[in-house]
Amino acid sequence: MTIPSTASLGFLPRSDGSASFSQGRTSVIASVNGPMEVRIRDELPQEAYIEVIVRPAIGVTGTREKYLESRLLSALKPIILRSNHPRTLIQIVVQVVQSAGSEDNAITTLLLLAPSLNAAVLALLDAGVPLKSVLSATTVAFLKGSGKLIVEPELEDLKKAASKHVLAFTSAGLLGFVESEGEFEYEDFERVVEAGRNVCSAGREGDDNDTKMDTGGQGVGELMRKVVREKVEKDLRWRA
Amino acid sequence: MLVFPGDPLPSIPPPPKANTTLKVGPGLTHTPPDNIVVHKAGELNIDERRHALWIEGNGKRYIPSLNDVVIVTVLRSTSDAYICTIPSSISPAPSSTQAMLPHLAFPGATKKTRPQLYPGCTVYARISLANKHMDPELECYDAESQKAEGFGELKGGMVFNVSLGMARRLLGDGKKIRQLRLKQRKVEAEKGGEDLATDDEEISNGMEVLEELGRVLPFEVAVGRNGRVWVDSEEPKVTLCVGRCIQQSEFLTGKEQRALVREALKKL
Amino acid sequence: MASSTTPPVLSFPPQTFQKLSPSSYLLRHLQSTPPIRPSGRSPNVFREPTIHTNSLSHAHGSAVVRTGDTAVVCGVRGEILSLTNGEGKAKGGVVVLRSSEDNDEGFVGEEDGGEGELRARSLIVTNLELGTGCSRDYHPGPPSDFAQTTTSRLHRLLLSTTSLISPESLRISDTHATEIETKAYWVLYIDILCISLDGNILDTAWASVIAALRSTRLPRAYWDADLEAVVCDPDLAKYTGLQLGQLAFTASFAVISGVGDDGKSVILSDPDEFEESVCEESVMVCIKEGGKIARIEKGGGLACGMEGLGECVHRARNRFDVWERLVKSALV
Repeated sequence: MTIPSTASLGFLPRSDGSASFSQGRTSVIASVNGPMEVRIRDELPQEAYIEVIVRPAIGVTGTREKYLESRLLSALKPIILRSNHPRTLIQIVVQVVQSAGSEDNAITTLLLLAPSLNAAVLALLDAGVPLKSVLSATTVAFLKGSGKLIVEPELEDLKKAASKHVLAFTSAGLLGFVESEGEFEYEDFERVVEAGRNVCSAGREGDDNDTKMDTGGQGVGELMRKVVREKVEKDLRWRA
Repeated sequence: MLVFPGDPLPSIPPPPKANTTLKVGPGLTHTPPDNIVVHKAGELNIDERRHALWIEGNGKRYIPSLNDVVIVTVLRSTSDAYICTIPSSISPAPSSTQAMLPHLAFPGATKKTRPQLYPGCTVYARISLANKHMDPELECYDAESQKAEGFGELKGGMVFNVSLGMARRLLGDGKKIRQLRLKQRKVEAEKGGEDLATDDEEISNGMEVLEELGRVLPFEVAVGRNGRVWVDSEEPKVTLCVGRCIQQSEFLTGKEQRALVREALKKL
Repeated sequence: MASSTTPPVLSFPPQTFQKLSPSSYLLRHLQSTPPIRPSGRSPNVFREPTIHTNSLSHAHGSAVVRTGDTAVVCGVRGEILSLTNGEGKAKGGVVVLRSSEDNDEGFVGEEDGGEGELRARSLIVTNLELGTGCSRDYHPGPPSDFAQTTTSRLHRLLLSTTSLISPESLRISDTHATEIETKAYWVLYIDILCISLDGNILDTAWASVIAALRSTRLPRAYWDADLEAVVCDPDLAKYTGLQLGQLAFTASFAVISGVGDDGKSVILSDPDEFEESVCEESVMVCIKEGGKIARIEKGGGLACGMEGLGECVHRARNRFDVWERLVKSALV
């Protein structure tokens, strides 16, 4: 039984943009503020300084959060049109609401990556920060022996998996972010990427029905488009 | 049509007249020579007559743009200018843009006759310089007539926050979009070979709330594109009523806005 | 004033060009035929590494690894964590872990290669420190985000990606008892100091960790039931090495796009500091023994597609052979 992913947008009144995203038992909230005044130390003359802060569900920020921050930053930085707002700060805060497992290990960290990335992208869209493209991320598990792929796996699936992959694609299907771990051959990786691309890129023709089934009939890319569409429609409701 | 960052644009209709330059509005970035990229999620609008396209969306953070009218707050005065803050919809904003309002940027101002503003004053001003590399500058007179035309200190009254989209509607941008919509409907209806069935009333211009209130209540209002609305009247009761009605009309259609105002007036 | 001379041509030495416009400086180099990097290397050439082991006398194992101008020292020191002193999970009591099959919720067991046990007891402590003045961007003060992130990546590689160290090799048990009980653990403190930083710290630091762990020799330790304490044998001849899992090595790449007129991207193996500062997109591939991929990381851009990743994997496999030969020859 997979829990369908959910997302919502613009519910924090005091931030420029906000979004929540939950995938399976992992749930995060992201908020975006900016472009705003930047600390002198971080000021860049030609582009906006992007700051990502990850706050854990319990406890204080540690190396695990720093690691997540650096990975999220590497995925988000290239899609933001930073040169549009030089000498400013765009701050992205990701608050973990619920983590898939109680243990602090590589798998739970891995499971946090995709929802955090999706929430951050949605919050950036909500805040109206200029973006080059939209990224959507998913997790894929590659099972031992059978070679079966599970898109958006649960913690238990990942424990059994030979390799785990977090992938992010633009809506055009370009690969923007990879974090793969385990033991695998390049051919397996190619299959994983194809499966990930099918759920992440929205509105693409010839979508593979098998992989779509796994996510309850709706890919991440489409889900993200759906919530943004609802928000824009609500904003423009007065015209109806 | 809803577009997302990085989405390909539909083909742009050719200009109505030769030599009309294409105007690229908010939400789109032009990279020379002829590449236009969507950088915001929102509704794509194409105005064929003016040969312009832009993306309509809503937001909270105001980014200064030339000739926008804004409601600012004076922070302090230096030897030749007031340093002001341009707040956005969120109040208090985590970090607002600072702008400079020169002492002489008032109609007919000289060193001696310039208006005295104090920290905390609310000022209605126009952005005279907006550049991503520089802090914005403000002026308190109309660019064409060089007269005050309502700009200057806003005395008394109250300031209300609205979203940036709402502020634009209150300034009449909704009317333009409405005309555009009407024209599009007409074209569509002609294509289908039917008469235009909908009457004009059905499409809202987004500011029925102000029109309706103005018909009954006496009050003054100033709208800044930075998501601030200043309202003043004889009675605080009226000021509050007007402010609240405006804030509540954010997601309401024209008809609903009229109903809201009627209800509010009854209570008053 | 005779002004017949031609106006002075604006020209400046390459160093000035590099400072003024770093990205076009790099692009110009790569546009030449054959493409060459400012350092004189071809895009697919890694820097030649060197390894020295056991140069620190007070550590149980150590290695100095150098690739180009990036040099790190890694020291491994074993300390004993006694479970009977009440430092374990159950306060004051003895925590018994017979084997990893016994897994409570906390310990995941064999499936994760003993990661649960290693993590729960913090049996491996990694720390990377940037030496004062190791690079131009070095600021004194608490560890920078960069150092913390690199530490975290190394820790991850050790514990979850490669499962290099099994918890069994760190257990100290009561050999005389009928049932084997774990009375204490060896805790490995792996400290890495970067002496000089010229890009790609991860590959070098990771190689230094591997080399240092392979050179580590711990004294024979056992539980003395009479003393109720862990006793170490001072006999040097009885020092034993760690049982390590399969070797794995990382290879990092920087990707720069817009090299040709068609916006072609170029993958630079083993980027130096200058290249890292210019290229935003990066790829890291970790290869295990037998050519299997253990980890792929990619971020920072969209230029490198599947083709590019395939190329990275291919180069990483070649790099694995270089490191493997070197590590094996350093420790005969």
